[in-house]
Amino acid sequence: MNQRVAKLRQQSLDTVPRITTERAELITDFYRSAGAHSVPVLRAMAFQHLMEKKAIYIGPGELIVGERGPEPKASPTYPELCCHSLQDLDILDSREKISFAVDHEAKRVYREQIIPFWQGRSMRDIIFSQMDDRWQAAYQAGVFTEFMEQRAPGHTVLGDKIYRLGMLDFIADIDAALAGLNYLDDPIAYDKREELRAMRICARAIITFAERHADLARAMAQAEPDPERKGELERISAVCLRVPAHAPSTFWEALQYYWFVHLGVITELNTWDAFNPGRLDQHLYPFYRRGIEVGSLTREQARELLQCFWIKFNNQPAPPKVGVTAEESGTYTDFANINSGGLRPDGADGVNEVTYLVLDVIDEMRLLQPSSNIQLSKKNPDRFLKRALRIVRQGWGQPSIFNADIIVQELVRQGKTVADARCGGASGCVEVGAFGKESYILTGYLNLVKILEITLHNGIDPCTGERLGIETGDPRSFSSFEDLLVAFKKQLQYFVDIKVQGNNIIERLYATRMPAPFLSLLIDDCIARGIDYNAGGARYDSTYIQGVGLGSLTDCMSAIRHHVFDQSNLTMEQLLAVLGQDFSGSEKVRQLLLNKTHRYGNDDDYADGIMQQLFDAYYDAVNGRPNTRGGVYRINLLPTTCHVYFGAVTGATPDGRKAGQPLSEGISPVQGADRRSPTAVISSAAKMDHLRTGGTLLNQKFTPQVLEGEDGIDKLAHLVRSYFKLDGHHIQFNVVSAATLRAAQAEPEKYRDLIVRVAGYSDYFCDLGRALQDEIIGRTEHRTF
Amino acid sequence: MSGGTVFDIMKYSVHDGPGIRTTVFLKGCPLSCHWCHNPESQLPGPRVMFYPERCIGCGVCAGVCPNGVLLPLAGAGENHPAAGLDKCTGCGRCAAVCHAGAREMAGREMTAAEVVREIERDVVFYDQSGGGVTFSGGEPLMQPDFLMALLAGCRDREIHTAVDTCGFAPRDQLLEISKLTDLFLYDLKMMNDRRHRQLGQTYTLPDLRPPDNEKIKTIADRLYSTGVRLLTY
Repeated sequence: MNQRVAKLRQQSLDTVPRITTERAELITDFYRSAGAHSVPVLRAMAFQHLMEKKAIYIGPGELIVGERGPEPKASPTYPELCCHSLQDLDILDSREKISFAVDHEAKRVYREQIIPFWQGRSMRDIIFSQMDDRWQAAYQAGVFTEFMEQRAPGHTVLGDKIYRLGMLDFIADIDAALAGLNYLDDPIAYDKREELRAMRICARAIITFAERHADLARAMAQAEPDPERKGELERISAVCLRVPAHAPSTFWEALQYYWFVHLGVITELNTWDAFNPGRLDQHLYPFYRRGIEVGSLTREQARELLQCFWIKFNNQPAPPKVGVTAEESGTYTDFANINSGGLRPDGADGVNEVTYLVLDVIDEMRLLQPSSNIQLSKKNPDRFLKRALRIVRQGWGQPSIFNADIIVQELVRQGKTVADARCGGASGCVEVGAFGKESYILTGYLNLVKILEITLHNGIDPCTGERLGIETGDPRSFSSFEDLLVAFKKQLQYFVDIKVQGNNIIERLYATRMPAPFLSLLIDDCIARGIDYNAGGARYDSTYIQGVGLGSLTDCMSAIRHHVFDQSNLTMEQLLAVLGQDFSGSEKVRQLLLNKTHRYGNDDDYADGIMQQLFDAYYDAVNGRPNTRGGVYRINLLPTTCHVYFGAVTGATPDGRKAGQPLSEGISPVQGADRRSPTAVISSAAKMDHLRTGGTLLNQKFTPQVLEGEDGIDKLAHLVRSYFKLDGHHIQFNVVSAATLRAAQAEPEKYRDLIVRVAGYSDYFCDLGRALQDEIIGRTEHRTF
Repeated sequence: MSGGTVFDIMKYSVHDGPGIRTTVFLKGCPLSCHWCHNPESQLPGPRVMFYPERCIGCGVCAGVCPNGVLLPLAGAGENHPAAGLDKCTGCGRCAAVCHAGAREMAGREMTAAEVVREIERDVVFYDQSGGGVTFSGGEPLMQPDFLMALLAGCRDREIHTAVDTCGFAPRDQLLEISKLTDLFLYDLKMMNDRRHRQLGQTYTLPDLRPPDNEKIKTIADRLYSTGVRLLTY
């Protein structure tokens, strides 16, 4: 990378995340004096207020401009969603991991202005006040988490329309839709009008925001003594005048347009799994090719612009999280996950020259954000896969690898057209979506192992003695494994029902109180339908509940089946007694459960067959139920950091796991339970029907020696291709030895830049909590032989 | 179908021939090279392995040992074969009761059908990578009938095979095997005869004649002339 990029990158790495009250103050000012408008128009005017008033930042040497806060790594807060208390601010400021600096002035502003206005009025307060006792009890016990309790729905990715249309074109579309409203026959014509007006205000507001950057760049150019920088600032000014008002005409404009749109989405609301450009290589390719052909762009200039673009993502830590949300997602990473490769809309190989450029940038930048993945189709060349694996081999967990062909099938199964499915991909950690056309909301993690624990106690949570579930029978009276399975399924359905009821209320709270008119502009078919993204305006609407601990659950069930029912090594009574004492004084029994059980991840049909039954149970409990936005519920299997939190609230389990230890993550086997080989793990994982999910996450860990040389890359490439032949959805790799990780625990100061793969994202090892560090060390390490 | 003693079956084996392979280690070796990376594979029959780091010191193993090899000692990790190791018959009773997996059997009797079934589980990986199965050891030719049955089973299923041999086996057997295998990994231990004797070989099985290195090289030449693929190393 050149000097400019190196400097900007270093600045991004060195800057400590801090909290800025800029957004909180502006939003509070706005609501204090807000007029009597409809909710969507109010939200749009609030967005406009932010776009007109927030500080504009253009840093030295920058080519792509715009920040969410007043400067890099200054994270705003969203008091209308979650009003932090003074105690929250103290915790954020002082906690050891994922902290945010909060100065005295910020605390004063919160004490005097923000808290008095928003306390009791934030979405968080409203949501908790609307949930019934059963929901509250299950939430407190860690049966499930709730994604929308302090962040807004918004899990989606942009399609290709901003590369064809400017905001002025969108405004024309909105005006046409407004003109076509039928107040006589359409009972919700008024609601549509208000929503469309709101979108129009937002489209104007983002143009204003860009113009303010243009003005500042021009002023800076006038004062700039260095002629080279002066020229750059003039160019920035010209770019910001053209986009996003108009469709982009150059590579630079395309990137800057996306970046303004990105800032708009993450400023309007604090959406989960931040928005990203999706298939960046395909979107940029026409601009790249044209630039090269007419001589207005070189490959090196394109690289530099992409690198500047990358740094912009890294400048935006995920806004501060507190409470359970901080436990389930303890990271600065905000999951903007850029896709490369895959298929074109016509089904042809999607790899192009920009794809390789993007891979070079990922390799050189080595940043946590944006996250990156490759979409690997059987049609893509091996060169593409191997280029990606050479980055993977360096051990920092990026890019992750997705099966593009299976993602198309997953999306088509869900009812998308083939063309929309081919334009889709993976985002966040592993979640599939039709880019630009789908709202696919993740609503919270479900603790599958906790539900088994409750089943084994006939509806009681043994950690508290409280009744959480329903009575499904005393397990000591069960005469077969099938009895246990039936009881578990009833208990699972009971908790899924509680979660779905809660979700259905929360979705309506967002639809009616917290629409997202700016995001709605961008996602088809919100304009055409005149309906907000949060209310069902997108062409496709999915709601997800993410299962956690399938590997642990499988091993627990397998242990009970084998030792209690098949072999009678233990009675249920004895097993429950041993678990109740957390194996204290029963190490021999624990070793029996740990070592003499058929365990998932070893291509062992006994265990894997149980996994399939449990997968089906989970699928049947969730899939296909209606959500409030005209779509349905679906499942996916990923944990972020929630397997650590869920483990902490779950007692000792029949797989030999002690109380409080992490659960398995994603669809990976229990840490250390997979003892055969990576091929055995893959064969086990592939027995799951990935096509019926909206994403699964498989982590594998290798020692660096296994992947040495061209041969190591070749064989890893074959391993990935084999998994994908078996319809696997996703795989990612940690390439690091346990010895290195232990050394980093002992002397963190020497390993500050050590990055590892956690779940669907990478993170600095030293930024992880101790339990998560230990969990990663405990994962099976595939060695060379 | 015939059976034999398998030391281990290793999947995703990436250094034993082309592609992703499964390596089947057959037990027993006529040599005992001091550089051997799995010396516990040298003796022909099953043997008990001990992993002290896994031992929880429960003492159950000592209670079931029929030959008094294991003594119950206090404290974790101390139930090691304290005395009379030569009395261990490899009956495996201690391994059967060891929940912690600190005692495990190295080597188990398997039928050729069982081994082939295990090999077959990774066919998708062989097909994708141009891999297959490698028979190693020990010295796989120590169990020639078993090896032939395994090779025939793989050929029926169109699975690529390699035999990793030191060549210390009757010439006719090697030629017979060459008809059933796709590749020989021919491990010439030492080209210099004197060094070969010096460095190599204390003989595991005293009734076998010392290896004639010249003969091994001659067999390699002969095998080469049959057209079978031969990688020497």
